[in-house]
Amino acid sequence: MSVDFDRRSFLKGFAALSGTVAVPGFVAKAAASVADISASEVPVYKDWKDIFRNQWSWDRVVRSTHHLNCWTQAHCAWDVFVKDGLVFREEQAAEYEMVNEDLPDFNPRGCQKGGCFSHRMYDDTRITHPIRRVGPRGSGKWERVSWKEALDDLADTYLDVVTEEGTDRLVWDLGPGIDLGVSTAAQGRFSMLTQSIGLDMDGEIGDSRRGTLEMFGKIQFERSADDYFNSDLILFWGGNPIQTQIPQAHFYLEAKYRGAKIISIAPDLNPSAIKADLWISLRPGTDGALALGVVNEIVSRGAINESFVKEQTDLPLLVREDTNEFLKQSDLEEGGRDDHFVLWDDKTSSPQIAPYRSLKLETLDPRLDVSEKLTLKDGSKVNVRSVYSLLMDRLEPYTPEAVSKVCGVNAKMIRRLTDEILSAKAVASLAQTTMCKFYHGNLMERSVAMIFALTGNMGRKGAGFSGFPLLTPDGGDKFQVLPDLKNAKEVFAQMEHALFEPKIKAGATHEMAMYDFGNMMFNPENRPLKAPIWTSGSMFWHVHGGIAEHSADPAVQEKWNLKLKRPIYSYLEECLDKKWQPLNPPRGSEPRMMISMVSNTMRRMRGSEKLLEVLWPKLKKIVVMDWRINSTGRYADYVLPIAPWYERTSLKWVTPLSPYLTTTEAATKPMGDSISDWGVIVMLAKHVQERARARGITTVKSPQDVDVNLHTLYDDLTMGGEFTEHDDEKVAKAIYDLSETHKKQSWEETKKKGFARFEQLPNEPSSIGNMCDFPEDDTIVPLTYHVRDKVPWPTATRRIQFYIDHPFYLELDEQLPRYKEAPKMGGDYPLTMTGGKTRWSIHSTWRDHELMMRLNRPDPAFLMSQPDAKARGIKDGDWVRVYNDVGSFNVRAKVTPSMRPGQSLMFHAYEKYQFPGKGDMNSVSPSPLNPVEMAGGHPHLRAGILMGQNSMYDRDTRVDVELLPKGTKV
Amino acid sequence: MSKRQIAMVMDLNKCLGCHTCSIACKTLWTRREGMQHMWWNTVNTQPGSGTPHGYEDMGGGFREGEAQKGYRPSEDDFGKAWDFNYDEVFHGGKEDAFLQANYGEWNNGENWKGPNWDEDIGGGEYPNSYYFYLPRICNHCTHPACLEACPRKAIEKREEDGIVLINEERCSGYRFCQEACPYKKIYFNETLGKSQKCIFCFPRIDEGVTTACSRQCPGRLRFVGYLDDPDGPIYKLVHEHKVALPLHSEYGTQPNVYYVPPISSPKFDEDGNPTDESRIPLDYLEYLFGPTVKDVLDKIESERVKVRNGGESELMDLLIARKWLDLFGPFTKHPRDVVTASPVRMVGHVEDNNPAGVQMWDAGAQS
Repeated sequence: MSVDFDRRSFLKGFAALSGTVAVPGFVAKAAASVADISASEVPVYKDWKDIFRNQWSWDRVVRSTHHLNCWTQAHCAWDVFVKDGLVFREEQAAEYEMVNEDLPDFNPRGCQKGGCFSHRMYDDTRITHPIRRVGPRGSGKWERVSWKEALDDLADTYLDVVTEEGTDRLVWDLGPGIDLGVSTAAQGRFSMLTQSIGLDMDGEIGDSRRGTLEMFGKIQFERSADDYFNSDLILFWGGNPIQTQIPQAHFYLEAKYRGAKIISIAPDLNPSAIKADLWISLRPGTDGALALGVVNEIVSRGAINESFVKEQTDLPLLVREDTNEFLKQSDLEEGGRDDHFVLWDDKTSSPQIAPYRSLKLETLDPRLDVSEKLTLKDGSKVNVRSVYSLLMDRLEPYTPEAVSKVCGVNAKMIRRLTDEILSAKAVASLAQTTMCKFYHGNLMERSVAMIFALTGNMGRKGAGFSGFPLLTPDGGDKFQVLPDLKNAKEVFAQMEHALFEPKIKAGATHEMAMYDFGNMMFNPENRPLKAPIWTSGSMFWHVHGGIAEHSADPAVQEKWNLKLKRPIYSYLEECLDKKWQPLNPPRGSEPRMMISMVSNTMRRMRGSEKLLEVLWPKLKKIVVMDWRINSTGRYADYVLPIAPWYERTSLKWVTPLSPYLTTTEAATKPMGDSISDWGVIVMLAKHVQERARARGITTVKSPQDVDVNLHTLYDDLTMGGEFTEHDDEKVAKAIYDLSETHKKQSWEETKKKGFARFEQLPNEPSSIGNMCDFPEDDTIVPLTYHVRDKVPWPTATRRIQFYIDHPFYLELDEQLPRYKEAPKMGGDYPLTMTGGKTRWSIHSTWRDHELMMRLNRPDPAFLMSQPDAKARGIKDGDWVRVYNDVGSFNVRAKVTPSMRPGQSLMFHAYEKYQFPGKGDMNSVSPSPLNPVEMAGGHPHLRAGILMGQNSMYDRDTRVDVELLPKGTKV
Repeated sequence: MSKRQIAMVMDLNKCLGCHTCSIACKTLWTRREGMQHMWWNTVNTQPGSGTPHGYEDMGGGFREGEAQKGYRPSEDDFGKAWDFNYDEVFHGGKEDAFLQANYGEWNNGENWKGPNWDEDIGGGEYPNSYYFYLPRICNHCTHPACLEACPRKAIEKREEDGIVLINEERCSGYRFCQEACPYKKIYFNETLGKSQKCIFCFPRIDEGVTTACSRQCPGRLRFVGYLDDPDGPIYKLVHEHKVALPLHSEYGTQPNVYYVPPISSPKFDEDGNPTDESRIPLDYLEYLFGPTVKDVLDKIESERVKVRNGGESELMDLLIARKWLDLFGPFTKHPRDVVTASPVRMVGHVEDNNPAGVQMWDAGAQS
């Protein structure tokens, strides 16, 4: 009787395929050796049960995880079981300690994707050797090459580009899999040393959370998942956590058994809506209107939390009626500061400067409703009104009755929602990036966040509007920036002191100074230290990639109902001329080489066909680093085989939702010629150094006149050979040791255990925004430093800011939240194509995995309502063509009563090659630019690490659908 | 009758429909040849056709003690394990190649549907649509129809814990068990010519480790333990609080998997206002879980109100299970602490400091 047949057949299968590029000869050898051993050593079974017992056996167990961007679900500690030199199974470690007796613990954490990664990493999509295209790009013809051939060729092209055109022509396409750990350490050091450009993907993916930035001056804050257990009312608004937060979704449901209510606000009865106590189904894209209806009710009931808004928000601050800008101290007094704002003090009946270094009002008693005439320093008179007063005018039209007509939710229900919010002691919303994928998502987010700010549901246990969750150990930056690790902490502390201290002396909070530090990454000019360069991914793809061309025609703007005052290009020009958004290389400098790592641009880019037309011809080399030929790899010149997570040791960022740094340890050696990201980039540096020396190339200047030493690149990147291409674990340890966030366990202990709870707020730009303590024995409640300790918010006015006086906002009447009708992107078609993250994959990583497809549907599915399907003669399972003015794709219809009529839905991350015929799910989404998101030159509207860059949008896409002829898919 | 009966309670209010259970089972047990299509653990959207499709109309079980005639589900009924043309797509040199399953002619009858084809569809009409998830394993019945139907006496019910197992040495592949099982949880291995099904992870249970599906469940909805253990959660939920009910008890096999039925949000009236009626129709839940389901739903809601108003509730505490290991009764051992259970070995033990086991490549030869 055969034992473990599948794995042997797997190996035999590999052996049979050896000789093709996908399968290395060693696998054939390995297969033969396993077969030999098993032939001689398989004993006679005593009992049929032994077969099963043997299936549950292993040689060794290693703690590991999957360091891709599971984002809200990241990460889970797994036991990885190794047998016969291969990983054959994984099971959750499930050893999270109870935080305290009153809270459910975090066990077991994990999901079905993580539960079969061992199957995924050995399936037919795996590549184990470098491959180079032999036909035209996209033709699917490859040849196997050695690392030396590949890297010499890439190094030579790189040297040509750098010496002939400039250091900024190499672009790193950094996708969502960016780890801010070992892999980013290599790319970051390479970028720092060569002044090459990394693309920040945050906005491009559609995760900009612009409305949150506008209001709070930052986007990265979220509670620990167990803190939702403390909520009385949880709003599933804009998110679908039962599907997208599988490892911690239990906390929401356990909260229900603690007496909390859940209200789901979503067009469709999604898998989270079925768990709610109340489902409010609204028209897609009208969330902002609904929120304004609730705010109108809160205000008209006099239910504003006055002490909270007076202290924490800009509602008492005064705005000049002549300019619509905030009144500043500099308007009133000679020598007054323009970062000091003014409120009306009832105690003294006079204008007073709002508190600056702290939010504490001390003796001030601000009036909310202010309309006064004041004398400016030049003697002129000006009418001023408080933000509160302006807001009251603004809110007037949004009565529940009026809003009801827009969002399709009846007025009684809007009042019921208001009742529920006002009667709950602690209301929490959900981490989501749905709203920012709508064209007017910024307005939506601000409108929803207003509910929380007006009722004081912020910065308390179980209460708060949720931002963009992110939490990373703070050693990664240090490792990237420092020349070497001699006295690294002290050197970095001095550097930080020099950069931060003057700012803090001048009044900045530590958080604000940290955001300046993050912003510095985007400005290669006048930097105090040599650092990696980041630029806006969305700007790059729009300008260099041609995505903006989709909406260049002003007639199209009209047709799509964008309601702008000028052509999009006029806003774009202004933004770039004024350097409001970072773009490197700048316009006119063509990118020449692109290395795509932890990324899959051609899968995710809205309107991606443009890239092939506009960007691809500019690029001399396109390199994809991955363990499979993803949609981008298909159009690349080289695909370099990367070792998946079980084959390397690393660490990566997580989120406060699960505040545990989670590590991988190499369970087996990389298959074939696979190498880690770190290893590949260090080897590339080695080949650049070797080829530079051979070609007599030494130092070149960056456009900003920074020296780039090509002949010592490897020596510098590796810190003089301290961290070579084989030293992933050493790098992981160095980052861990450089971090202040984990002191209770050594690296060795953490690696063995697989996880370590964050002990303090990371001192680092992408997670400092949480601004709270990280207690060992209690939940994490973000923003308490502001709400409890009165530390100013990192906004222009240092408060939660309802009012934005930037010129683009004034021009488009977005200085205060309002409702704007969703545009008809792609043309005036009847169905809105919404979207969402799928249960079945993390980005595209499992999207074409056979086990996942067997458990749902093997073809891409287009969800539509019963009436919409019926009207078109479409039945569940039929092949249909989805189309609008910009493109089309072929897909199988999934007809369901859970869709709202008029709504359709494509779940996330199908690979291009999963769609028969021309086009994919992004082909219908032109993603026009929204001017307000390009605004910059403002204290808190500017690019920072993973925030402040304009978004891309697909949720307003309009389409229609037609049945394909029977028996065809195209 | 076994001395003791092991049982499982699944709280459907906590089920995420994520299939981590299905995958946990698949990667552990059904990876041998002939098992590709097997999902001993399934999760289906209800109402829906379930797995195998239409199983509730396939007969079997007992009525008033009499064995009932049953239909023998085919591999198509369960849903085939499709293969995909990866090689053609990635290495075939064809620009327009796209990924396809080998399900043959599409839109040609029902038989190409996979085991979870109707995920998230459910019933009703918008806005009163409704659905929930129902995970299923073998019920390890007290009165197993499969056992009685087997002419080879290849099916045994373990004395010590009531786990029902198919003896693969005795099984001759007659498949009467498939006909007899009213839950249709028995698969047939065409390659081996033997019937196979959920083994309640007996190798784990024997070591004090709970089942893979329960231990790996991120929703924390599966309680495991002995039915007669008054200190365990199973006894409390089934016998004391009476909130866990068997599925289709009218099938007459006395199943040992129990379900806490799903509460749901209110139905809307014509003006879009919530009514007093729950979204999931009561008669549907009664069809699945019997006449007491209404009492259970009311009890859960009233206990929720109680704790919302500051009261204490043992039932709510039980269902929350703050300490995760409390779900598993006596089966709380960590798998890592089991000295590898294997009685046999395919290859010699690989030293800890030599992770590769098989020499794969020479690290120095990379570049």
